[in-house]
Amino acid sequence: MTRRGQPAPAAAEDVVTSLFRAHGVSLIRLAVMLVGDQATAEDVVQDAFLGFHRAWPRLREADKALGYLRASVVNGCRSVHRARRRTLPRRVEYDPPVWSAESAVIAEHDRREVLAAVARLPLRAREIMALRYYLDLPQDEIAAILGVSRGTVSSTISRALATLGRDLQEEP
Amino acid sequence: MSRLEGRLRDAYRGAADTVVPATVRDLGEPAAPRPRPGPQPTRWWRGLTPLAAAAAVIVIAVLAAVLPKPSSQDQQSPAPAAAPKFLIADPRGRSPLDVRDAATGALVATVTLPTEPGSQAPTANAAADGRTYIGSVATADGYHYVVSLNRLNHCRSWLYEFQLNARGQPSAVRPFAALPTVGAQLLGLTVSGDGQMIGYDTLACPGSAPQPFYVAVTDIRTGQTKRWTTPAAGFLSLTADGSMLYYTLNLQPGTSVVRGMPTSAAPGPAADRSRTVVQAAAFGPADEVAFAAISPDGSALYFATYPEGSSGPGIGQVRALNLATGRSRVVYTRVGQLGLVTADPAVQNFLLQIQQRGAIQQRGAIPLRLARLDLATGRVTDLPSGWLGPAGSVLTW
Repeated sequence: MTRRGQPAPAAAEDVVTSLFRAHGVSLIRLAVMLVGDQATAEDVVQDAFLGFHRAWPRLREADKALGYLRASVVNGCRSVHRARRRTLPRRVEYDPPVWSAESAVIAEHDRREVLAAVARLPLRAREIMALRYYLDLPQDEIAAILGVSRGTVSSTISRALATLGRDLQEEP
Repeated sequence: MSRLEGRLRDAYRGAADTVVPATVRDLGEPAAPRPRPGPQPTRWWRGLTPLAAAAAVIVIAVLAAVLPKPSSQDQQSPAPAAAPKFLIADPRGRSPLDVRDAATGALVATVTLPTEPGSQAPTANAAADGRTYIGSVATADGYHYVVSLNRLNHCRSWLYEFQLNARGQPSAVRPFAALPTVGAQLLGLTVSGDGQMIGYDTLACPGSAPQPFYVAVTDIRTGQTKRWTTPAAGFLSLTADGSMLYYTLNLQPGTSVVRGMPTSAAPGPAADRSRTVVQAAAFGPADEVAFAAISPDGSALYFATYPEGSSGPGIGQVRALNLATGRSRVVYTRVGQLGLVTADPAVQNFLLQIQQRGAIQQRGAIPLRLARLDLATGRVTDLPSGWLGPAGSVLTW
């Protein structure tokens, strides 16, 4: 027996499972672009789904589930970067980012060069660029995920493209 | 869309493709401990109990039954497996093959192959015809061997099999029942660990009905063969279950790669069915892949690189690529070439025929050192090498 308007626990598990099936890999790929390696990306996404599972009874709009998960993943990646900065003096070893030569999972030099240039952008810009150019999200949706204005998204993309254009010797 | 935006999208697609769905661990599946910070699975793992129970039943069991289970090198330590006691040496390129004690190099026996390819019975003077040569020798267990024989100017190979007993004595040589002949000259052979799949690559056949280079696998149970056209593949290796085929391509300087392809892929151009897993140029602009072998469980690819055409002695390296994470680590490094490399069937040891540094190289007489490289520890053990001769030998271990 559940209260009116609240999903039953079993339904929450079904929703989480089906969402993971449908979007888990895509979210891990998004996280890889932000943290650089699959193992960390999987941790971030699993955390996001756990948070979603816990939050599900309070969520009223199921159609916003994917947006919630995307925001959780972006926030989780930000936490990873904070944690890495804290552990920098301890010389903790991380898996090399996928765009590094050491990783070698991306064979094409051009792709590695572009991703390495993206990796030099500020973190917020990297988030916006991944949401825009990997997930092809419109600017207002990116703004909603990141909790910023549409103007911020637009100007960040412009500045990032200008920076990348200089780095990669391309017209933005 | 500007060109820059196009490059961005393409690069993101490349990064996305590094995440192979089959390698993604399922919801609630704990990660292996890693020496790095970030969200810790154990922190929330306990809280996932209800979800994990459902997921375990609904998803994990189903996926585990359907998908090949990825196994990370980080998640398991290789079980020690004894390398085969004997190795097969092919110092002459033609019959007979030598059976040697792998530890001492002592000649234990010889294996005489047929003079006339296709004949049922080996003859004593197999080498005498001068037209028959050995294409390749392969084993999945150090006990059963398959050998391909080619004949000059013949666009065909004949395959034979034999076994060694515990004392290294060979059985009679018989035509390989599952694939007695192939209508092309075989260059390389490999057998899956379960002994159910054989892979091979061929030379292009000129003539009235020209055939391109191709790689192929034959299912030994069904006899079904699949071919994929590709220019000049090398160092074929199959996973133990025969589901994945890996091979090298050294077409032009700076383009040397290792590619992997599911053997379930439809026949056609290998370039369309496979993906690059190693690009030698990532380790040095002139580096080439000098050897590659996939671990039986398909989790790690071991490969050797060396800068081709360098004026001075380059750095030869053996690396292990974890295919789940894409991370590679150096197993062994030396200044100079690694020479001919041979893997044992478990891909836990390499035999290296190393050109000795500083040796006086007389014409046709380069002293060789034979060493066993333990891939788990990187430890190198010298073995008796006097029997190898100055030119070394193609070995199968």
